[in-house]
Amino acid sequence: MTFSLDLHVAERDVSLHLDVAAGETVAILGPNGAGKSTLLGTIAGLVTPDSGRAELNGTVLFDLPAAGSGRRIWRPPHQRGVSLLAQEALLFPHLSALDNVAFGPRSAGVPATRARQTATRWLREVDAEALAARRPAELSGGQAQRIAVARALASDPGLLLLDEPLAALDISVAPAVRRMLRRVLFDRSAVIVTHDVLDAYTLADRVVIIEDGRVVDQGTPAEVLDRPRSAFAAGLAGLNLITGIRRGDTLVVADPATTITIDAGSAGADGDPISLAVRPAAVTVTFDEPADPARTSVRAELIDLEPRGDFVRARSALLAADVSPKDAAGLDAAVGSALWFSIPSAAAMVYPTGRSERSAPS
Amino acid sequence: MTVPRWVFAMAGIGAAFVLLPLVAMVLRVNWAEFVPLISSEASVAALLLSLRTSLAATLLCVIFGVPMALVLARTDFWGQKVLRSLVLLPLVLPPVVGGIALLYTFGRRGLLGQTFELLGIEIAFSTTAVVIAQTFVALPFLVLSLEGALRTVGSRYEAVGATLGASPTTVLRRITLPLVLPAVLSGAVLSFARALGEFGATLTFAGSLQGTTRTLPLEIYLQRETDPDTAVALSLVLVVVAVIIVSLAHRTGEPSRRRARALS
Repeated sequence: MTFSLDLHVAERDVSLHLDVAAGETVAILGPNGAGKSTLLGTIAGLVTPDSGRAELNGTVLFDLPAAGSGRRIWRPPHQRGVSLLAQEALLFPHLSALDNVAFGPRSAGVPATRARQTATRWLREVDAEALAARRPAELSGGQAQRIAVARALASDPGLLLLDEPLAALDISVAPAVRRMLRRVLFDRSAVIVTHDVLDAYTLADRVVIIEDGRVVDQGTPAEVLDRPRSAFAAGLAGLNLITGIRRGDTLVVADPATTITIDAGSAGADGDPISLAVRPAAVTVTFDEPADPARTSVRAELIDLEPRGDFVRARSALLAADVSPKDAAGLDAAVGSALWFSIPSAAAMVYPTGRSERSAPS
Repeated sequence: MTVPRWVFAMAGIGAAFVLLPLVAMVLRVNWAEFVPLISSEASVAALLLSLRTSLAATLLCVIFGVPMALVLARTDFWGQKVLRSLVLLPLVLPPVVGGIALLYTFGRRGLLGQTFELLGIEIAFSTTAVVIAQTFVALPFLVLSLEGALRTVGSRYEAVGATLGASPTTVLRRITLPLVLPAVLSGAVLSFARALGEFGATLTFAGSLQGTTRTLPLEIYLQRETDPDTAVALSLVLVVVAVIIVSLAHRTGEPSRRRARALS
């Protein structure tokens, strides 16, 4: 165990527990206002929680017992060994790129020449050695963020915090910065807050979903995002999520009342809560019930058709289907009436909702 | 926005109101005697004393004003608003009132005067008194301009610095002060200008002894009664010095604005 955190903020109704193992990168996903930034601010020492405790590599970062019982410990940010990389690079505008990166080592008392050597090494690591002499005003967003990464790492943090590091970047430069992050985060303890499911898949060893100030799910990216447990996670992963009770070879949904024939396999016993996840692209919409035995079909009202670039999303209360614009044109008159939404059995993932088999991180 | 024509007219009247008296003064200068007038013993003594004391006062403003601005801009405590208004009081106080207040603080019978007397230091009616009077009236200029700059820059860079392992003193030295350096410089220049022009508090608290407390404004006031030509010549010297200072303040103020724009 490298890092462990318990956190309570009464005012914002946040109550969280988080562990990060040595060398592990944990991605935190959650809707806006779920308490993600509060979490990072608390770990960095910039936000004081009501009560809680955090420990990094055996050092207590803070220990604030509830209701003033016992000794309160609050280590200031500069003594925590925790670097925070924000959405914006926030490079010091009066220092060159090299001196920005050398700032951490210099603050730790490393002599100037050696601090600059360290800084040069980190600039090379993020493919920005050529920018060493530039001032922040002369850098593009992607370049600045690379240097901010180098600066955060040069201070040799025990834990690296990343608060949506790619969100402010141009879509054209984000992939390259993401690849660089994947390289430098390998084997490093880090917590990354993100909105982007791609960040979670490429950068994280483990994903933690936070909703309303609570951890609602966690596991490997594949576990959490391929077999989502919450509507939020399903939405991030771009999946239809249907939850209900297993009755033999059917999934019984309460609202809207529906019964879906499934190939349940070993997904729970009769009467267990189970979930079905399927990509909207795999779902088809037809006027008549398909005769194909390899498909399971549900009759549902078509609520609307939502154009999404080169396809159109046809939505019902239970399922969404991505159809071609040509097919959508044919469905246009049918909005408001009941149609057949069908799922190929091979594309549907059926799994126990409870997921008791999931190993809780120690 | 297109500025309406009548606004130009009003602005023109305002500008004339400021410039005309200066022109009137320059027209009265006795150019033939100008150099001898301003190089008399009393004039030179007053000019040197003014420069010396104003520099000392500016230094004191920086030494105490920078921490004051930092505390006002970066901390939050009960009564801070009241404290800020009180600290800025010398801006609106008639200088002669400031002089009286200083007299009852540092004078022989003042609040701290006896303490200083025990230490063998007599402040009232000394050059030290001039520096104190000038610092008193000039300090708010530096505090005010620096506090504004600190708020504009914000504390985000400082937070980043702290998470990189920099102690609060290192953050102050390597991040905060470099970022607001233009504001410190322009604030210092403004303080210097205010100290140089200081009259009322100085006369009340320090008196008017040639070479010891008679600064250039006091010398001008004194000469005006007996020797108007000298008074006008010295006034011109003071105007030239002030113009140089104001242009310096503008020059140092520019980069801070450019930087602020780059940040936003």
